[in-house]
Amino acid sequence: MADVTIQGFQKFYGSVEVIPPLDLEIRTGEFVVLVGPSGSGKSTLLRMIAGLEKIDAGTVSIDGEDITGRDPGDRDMAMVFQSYALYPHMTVAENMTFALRMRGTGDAVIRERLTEALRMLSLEGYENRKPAQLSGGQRQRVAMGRAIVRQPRVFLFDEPLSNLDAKLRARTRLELRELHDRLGATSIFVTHDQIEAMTMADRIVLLDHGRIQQIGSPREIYEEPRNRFVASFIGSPEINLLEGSLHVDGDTIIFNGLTLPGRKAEMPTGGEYTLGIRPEAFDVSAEPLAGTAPLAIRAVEYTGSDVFVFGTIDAGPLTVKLPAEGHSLRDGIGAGTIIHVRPRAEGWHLFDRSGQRVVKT
Amino acid sequence: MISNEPSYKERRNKRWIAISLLPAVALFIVLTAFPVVNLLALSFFHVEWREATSAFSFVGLDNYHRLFSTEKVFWDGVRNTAFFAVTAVSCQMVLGFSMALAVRTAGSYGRAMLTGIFLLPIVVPPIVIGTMWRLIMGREFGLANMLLRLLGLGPVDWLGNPDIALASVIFVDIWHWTPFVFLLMLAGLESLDGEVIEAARMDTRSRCQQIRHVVLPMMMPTIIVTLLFRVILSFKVFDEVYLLTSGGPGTATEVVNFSIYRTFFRQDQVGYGSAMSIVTLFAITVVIILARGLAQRRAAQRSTVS
Amino acid sequence: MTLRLGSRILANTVVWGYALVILGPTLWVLSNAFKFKIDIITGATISPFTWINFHELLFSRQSDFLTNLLNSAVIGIASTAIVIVVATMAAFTLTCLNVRPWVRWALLGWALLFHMLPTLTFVGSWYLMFSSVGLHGTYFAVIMTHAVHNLPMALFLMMSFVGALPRELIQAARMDGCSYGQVFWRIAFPLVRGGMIAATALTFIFSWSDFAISLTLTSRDTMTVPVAIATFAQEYDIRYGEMAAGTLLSIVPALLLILLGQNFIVRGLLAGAVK
Repeated sequence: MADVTIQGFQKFYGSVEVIPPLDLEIRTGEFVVLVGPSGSGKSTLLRMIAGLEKIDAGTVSIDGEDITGRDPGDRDMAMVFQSYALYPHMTVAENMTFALRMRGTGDAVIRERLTEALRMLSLEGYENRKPAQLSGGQRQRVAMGRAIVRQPRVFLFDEPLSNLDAKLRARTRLELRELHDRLGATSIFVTHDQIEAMTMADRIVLLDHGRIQQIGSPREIYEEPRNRFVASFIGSPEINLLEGSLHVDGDTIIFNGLTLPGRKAEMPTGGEYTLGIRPEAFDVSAEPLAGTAPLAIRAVEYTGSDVFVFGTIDAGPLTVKLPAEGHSLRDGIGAGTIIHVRPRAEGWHLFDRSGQRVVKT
Repeated sequence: MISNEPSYKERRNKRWIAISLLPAVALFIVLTAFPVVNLLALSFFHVEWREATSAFSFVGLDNYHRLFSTEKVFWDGVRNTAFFAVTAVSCQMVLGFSMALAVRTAGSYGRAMLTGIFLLPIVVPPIVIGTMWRLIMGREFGLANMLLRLLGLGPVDWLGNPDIALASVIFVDIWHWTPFVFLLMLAGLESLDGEVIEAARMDTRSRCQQIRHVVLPMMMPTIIVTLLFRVILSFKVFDEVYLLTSGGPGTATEVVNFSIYRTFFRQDQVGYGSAMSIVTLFAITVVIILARGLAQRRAAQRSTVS
Repeated sequence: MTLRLGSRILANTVVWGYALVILGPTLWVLSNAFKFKIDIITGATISPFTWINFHELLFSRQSDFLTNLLNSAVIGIASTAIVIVVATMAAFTLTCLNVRPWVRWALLGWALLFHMLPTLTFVGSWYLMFSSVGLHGTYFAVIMTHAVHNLPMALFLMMSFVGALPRELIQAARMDGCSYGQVFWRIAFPLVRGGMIAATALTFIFSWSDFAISLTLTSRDTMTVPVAIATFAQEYDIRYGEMAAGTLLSIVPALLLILLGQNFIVRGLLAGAVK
């Protein structure tokens, strides 16, 4: 129905290559999130798909139909912009029906789709207001409505939630995902917010410097980061990354004096590596146990639901999330005290010098 | 796969770009670029008017030769214009910036009315300003001499005395353009980051320090741009001089534009006037390019620091 | 506290003092418009009020001033209309659309240069050009030269207004299926109407104020107000009263502009300086 295929996309600003040759396949009905830090090229990529940025090389097609050279208005794609880009001189209804009117759609169809979209977005009664008379959340919904009434083959979203306050953003996230499931149209969503990426995506495409770092479900991305960049970009607080040397002696794996439990296949026997452990992947105890390392605490952060401990072990600085059963510890600890931590068997990754993950689970 | 043919829409878009730029380009070519070419061509001719028809005779570089060897009035005009530009603009800058600082730091009453009054000289036809000051500086019935008489001082021939005339013209220009500099400077001061100024107030011990070390450096780009802009526009001066002194007495207030005007329209020396125009155009273009380079270098330095 | 108050008073004295230096002479000259010639010459401060100067200026047989006013209005309105249409379309295309860089650079560079070069270096050539095709002294010649003369300022001003439109708005319209022309007419044009009014007012004022072009390109039938005023001032027997009355009438558009829209004037005058 609406597969989007990108082949060999390239983009230059002057002589600077902002998008190196890039291939991407998006399946019908899929919700794909393009995520990455600012300057990663995610917005440029989206605008190239939309036809708003010139494509220097490569092709984009929908359902096998090449649309590379086509006008943005003739691609059957609708876009929701970060600033919403509502036409200030038009009412809500005029904004939402503008694209249909430009295409000469019949009045009856326009009215029907408008009513449907207004209802879907709970915007009934606002159709004659101008954008300036709406709240931020309402404007956001009008922007969505403008895309929905077109019933396009592909929805494009360019950070559409970043201008909402935190509470509204969380709610809209959910609504948007529900809407997608109801309409079943292919969606490409750009954000720099990893929470949005994790919560909304069927598949995440993680970009850095115009290159795809990893494509996968939120779970794959989080649990099996392909490289250091992916590991550190996703997850909050950030994954612990320790530089050091690895010694493998039979079944015992030692990294900078820290014992790593669990034997993995294709384990290298030694050398210089980066160890990545997520803050929640530790067992914690007040007393030293087998394989634990003493953590000298610098600071403790209590967020209500979680307790994070910042400190240092011999191997380096560490952030540890106290597991639920370790919460009993929290009253006794503070800057200057010591607890004992041990990585969990499946909770660690090794990255080589070039940043690639070397151990497959 | 065959790449997409340029669609109907794409062709229409291309056509829109052409159509929307065409009138501007046409106006510029026919009425600015062509005249320059025309001037350049004419500057190699001697043109004589006989019974309402013109006779052209090619004289090569004679006009230029004459301009650079025997001409005197034009070069007096160049000297006067340069002196005029530098003196008038420096006074405007100092006055305008000081007043803007005073208003900015101390505040003033009746802002809207003040702006309105300051805009008056800027939007009124320049010829009106010339007329006004011609009347005020009139020898017999002028306001200036009437006031002097009240103080028991003798009448001064503001515009007729060769030693005073240029100063009088410069005074009128200062009067005319200081408000403009003031308004630009005030706008510049008001667009400075308020928090930085507040930080400067916490860190410095006197207003002088604050202005010297924080406000002035931050205002430098605005100051330089305004300065260059005013100096270049000073070379456009014509209307007031035409009315106040017509370049006289002698060549005391001769300015470049007036020389060109006289050569063209009063002496009918078209070829020679064209040579003058071409030299002036060339010189000012060079000044403009240098000035823009300077302004851009300042801007570049600034952006690398901040 | 006393220091603050002191500097406040000083600042106000300086600035309002300058305001007085602007207003004083202006009012003195304009007040002559309502005086009899004898009172002007003797410098009487208190004198009987009269409309005679306006009456002479506008309705006397010897005076063409009414024609001059009409000429200035016709030339101002026509050249402003041309300038605004041309500048707005070009500004939109140069700001929002993909124009080849060298086209953009050449057009804007030339506009900036022409904006700063002395007008007097062009009028000689214009005079010859229009004379050779028999158009010297016609409305057409003056209107077209006024138009090209004010085009750079209007172009820069309109570019600043069009440039203030969010880029995403243009992109949204493109996604909604607008061609470039449709984006202009349906989105940009309605949204920069305020800017167009500002540019219109300023352009008209500049055309109305122009002296150098009108001096050299008009004939007796097309002579504009500034040229007429200059003629007054250069007559051997200066008619002070009528001259003041003419001056007063000639600054009416400027006064209206100050009263109705002082905010955008500085911005307009700065156009070109900031580029």
